[in-house]
Amino acid sequence: MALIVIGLVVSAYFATFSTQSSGSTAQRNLVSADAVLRNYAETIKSAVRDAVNGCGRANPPPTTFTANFTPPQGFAVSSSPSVIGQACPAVTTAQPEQLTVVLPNGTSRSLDIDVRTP
Amino acid sequence: MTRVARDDRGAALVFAIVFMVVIGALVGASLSMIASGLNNRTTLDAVRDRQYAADAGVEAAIADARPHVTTWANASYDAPPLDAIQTFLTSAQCGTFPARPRLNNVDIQVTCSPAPALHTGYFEFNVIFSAVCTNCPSTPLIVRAQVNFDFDVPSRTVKSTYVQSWSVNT
Repeated sequence: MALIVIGLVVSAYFATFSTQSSGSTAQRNLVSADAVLRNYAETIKSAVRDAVNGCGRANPPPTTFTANFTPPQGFAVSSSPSVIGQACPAVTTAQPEQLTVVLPNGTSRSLDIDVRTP
Repeated sequence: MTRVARDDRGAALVFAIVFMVVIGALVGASLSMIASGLNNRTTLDAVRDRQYAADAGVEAAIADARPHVTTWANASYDAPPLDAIQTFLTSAQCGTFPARPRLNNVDIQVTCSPAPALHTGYFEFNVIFSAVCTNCPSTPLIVRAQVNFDFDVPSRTVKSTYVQSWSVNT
């Protein structure tokens, strides 16, 4: 009887360790995804504001902006609409962008932002 | 002298129960730690979503206000800066912008008020935008931004906008 109880408890203990390990990995990926989303968003906003190559240029007036961002290994990012050669927003409107990051385990997180011509 | 004979029967079960209780506590603590970490992540994600929703609200409000600056600046400038600044102060109460569509599951309301900076012979068209969350349980004011509209008097257009300050509450 005692051996059975001990066996069950030890099994539960190792199952917990296994769960903790996978939970830790999930937590790390979620934190990384948050950082990727924030960095991607700031990269896009910066690209739109850019006074040299972006929409912040005064002369000649800009027409497009491009945001280049390389996510960490295992992560993938995308935006809708695209931020590659995208037309500058009109000065009286803000352009919505939906950013998506795909985690190494295949799940995804998204964030909506607005960008505007300065 | 006589010795009382002791019986060890049942000791193993006691050890097993103690072992089970100790290991059970460790298992519970570990699972609690995992749940706590994931819950914190959810909270931090909500903060991020709120910040970027407020950010988007203010960006949209700045863009919306841009044509209004022409109206605010629609003064003769005969006696600068008094004529124009009075127009600015009385008509630049841009008030409450229409509520934006929900962004990141957050409802944002933006208000604005004039904050001109006086200089000799002219003043700056500065406006303070405040983004408030209308469906958040706490910290309703999220973003407060002061923006300068670079108004070109001869052409009656805003050449550009400059963010002078931008503060975010978490």
